[in-house]
Amino acid sequence: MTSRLTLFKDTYIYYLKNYYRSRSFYLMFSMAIVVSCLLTYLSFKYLNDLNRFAQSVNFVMSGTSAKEKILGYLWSFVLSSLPAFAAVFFGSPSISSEIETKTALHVFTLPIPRIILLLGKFFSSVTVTSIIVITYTLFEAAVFQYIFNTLIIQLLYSFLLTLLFVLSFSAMTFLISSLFNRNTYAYITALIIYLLVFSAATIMIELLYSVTPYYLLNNAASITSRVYIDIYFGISTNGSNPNPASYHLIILCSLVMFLYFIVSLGITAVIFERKEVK
Amino acid sequence: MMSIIEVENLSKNYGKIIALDGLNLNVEKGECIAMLGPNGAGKSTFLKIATNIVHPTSGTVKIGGVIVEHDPMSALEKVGPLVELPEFYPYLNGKEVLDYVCRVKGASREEIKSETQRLSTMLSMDDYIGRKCGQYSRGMKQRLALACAMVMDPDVMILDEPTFGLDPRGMREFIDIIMDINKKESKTIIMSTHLISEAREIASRVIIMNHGKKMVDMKNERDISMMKVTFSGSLDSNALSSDGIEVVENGTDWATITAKNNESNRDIILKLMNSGMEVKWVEPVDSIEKTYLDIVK
Repeated sequence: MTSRLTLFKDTYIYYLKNYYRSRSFYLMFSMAIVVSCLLTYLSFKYLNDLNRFAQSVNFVMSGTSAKEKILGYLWSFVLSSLPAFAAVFFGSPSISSEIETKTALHVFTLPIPRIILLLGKFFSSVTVTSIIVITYTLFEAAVFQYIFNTLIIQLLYSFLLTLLFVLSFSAMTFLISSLFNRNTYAYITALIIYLLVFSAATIMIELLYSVTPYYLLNNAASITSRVYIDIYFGISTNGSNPNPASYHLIILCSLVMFLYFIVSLGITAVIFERKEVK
Repeated sequence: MMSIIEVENLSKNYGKIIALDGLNLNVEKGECIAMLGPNGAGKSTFLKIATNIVHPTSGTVKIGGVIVEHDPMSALEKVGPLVELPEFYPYLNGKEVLDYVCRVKGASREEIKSETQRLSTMLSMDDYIGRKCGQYSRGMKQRLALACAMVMDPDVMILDEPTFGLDPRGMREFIDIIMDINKKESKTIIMSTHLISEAREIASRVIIMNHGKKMVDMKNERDISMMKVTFSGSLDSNALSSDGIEVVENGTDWATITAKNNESNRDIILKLMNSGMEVKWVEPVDSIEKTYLDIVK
């Protein structure tokens, strides 16, 4: 009998091959390269104009480190939306497509627990999304090394938090995908929830209670750039702090993202176990 | 003989629609069963429950003594399924798909290599096994699906309309392969089909389903050998009621008869002629087709 770990490894590789050869992956990968090149160009061209950005957010610039933090903030601000789109691309059709395209008629009949199928697919999806994030981060690190001749620790924090965001958002897209039998519905719902519902809920909660709802994934994910400088564009809590976000906030946001990951994947596993192809 | 598949009171509802209604069935080792029935009869639903694609509303399917719903991994270990026309991940090639199925079924590295090669050659897939599945035609996918079902020599093969969508040559090859597997390797085969000719040729037992229920379970060969005899004169009911002849249906100058014992059709005809009846014409009657049409009309 094949061990569960071996089954997971084989399933992971099986799905990974299908993901990294897909058009979706090449499209997202090309986008990551294009955005990275664009930001590299802008970083060199506007390096000396960063003080204008600093003034716009009432940030007092002092020394190279401050420039590095602002530039880091701008790079990670752009990065925060890249894994979201990649996760939607890879995660949203993950389960619905098994039903829609009838691949489930093949994989469901194999003597393999569905949880292993799910985990194999989930982690291969996370891997391809992470490849896109890593590519972008490598560009960022190379630019920083060239300009500042050093790499600040926030780059690592931001990268690790982005990977956590990839985990949590991918799990959420898998959950949404498990609710539908059609890819289109899953794509649209994932985008609407993240871009519209979360944003609308944030605005309402800030207006009504004057607090930032960090329990919503979009707000928790903002920590990926706030580890450089603590800028938050909210309704009631607009403001900036030349320092990085506090450890308390970093831990809170990390916990929220981790909870999204665990809860979403748990519910998905339950739904996937009962999934049928009529 | 031991039952390799045991179905007890199996039902499946999709909302208010009853797809399967209290099916009971025992399949013995080495049997080849064909399930016939119109669309919506419950054939595919049963096969999907047996292969863990659909969960039953009530009842159980046991394969090798293991309830599929409780422990699908153990139950499906020795099962080769082909349900409808499964799709494969478009960016993987046929060899990678077979390789994965071999791995899942616990094959060693050497076994994977030899099994992939054996199946590829057996099902004439050598020309395209290295191509991505996204480029496969329907027939190619069907062959790959059958290859997946045959990986590691399963004890039971569950085939849902295996020849659907194939050209006549492909259908012939498929039927020959399935018959070979059943006869030479004594595998248990349970398949659904819309083709009565296919069922007649392959199966040792025919089940006709309608409205989610098992209507007919024709088990032995006698049930599928019937003939219509036309006489020159009118019927002699005394001659017809002689030992060894069963009249299924009759008219003024004809009768559909079948042997009660293991007598051949030739012996029955001779018996009729010796009793003084003038036989004008004899034609075989497809009892499966007749029963099927009686049920679904």
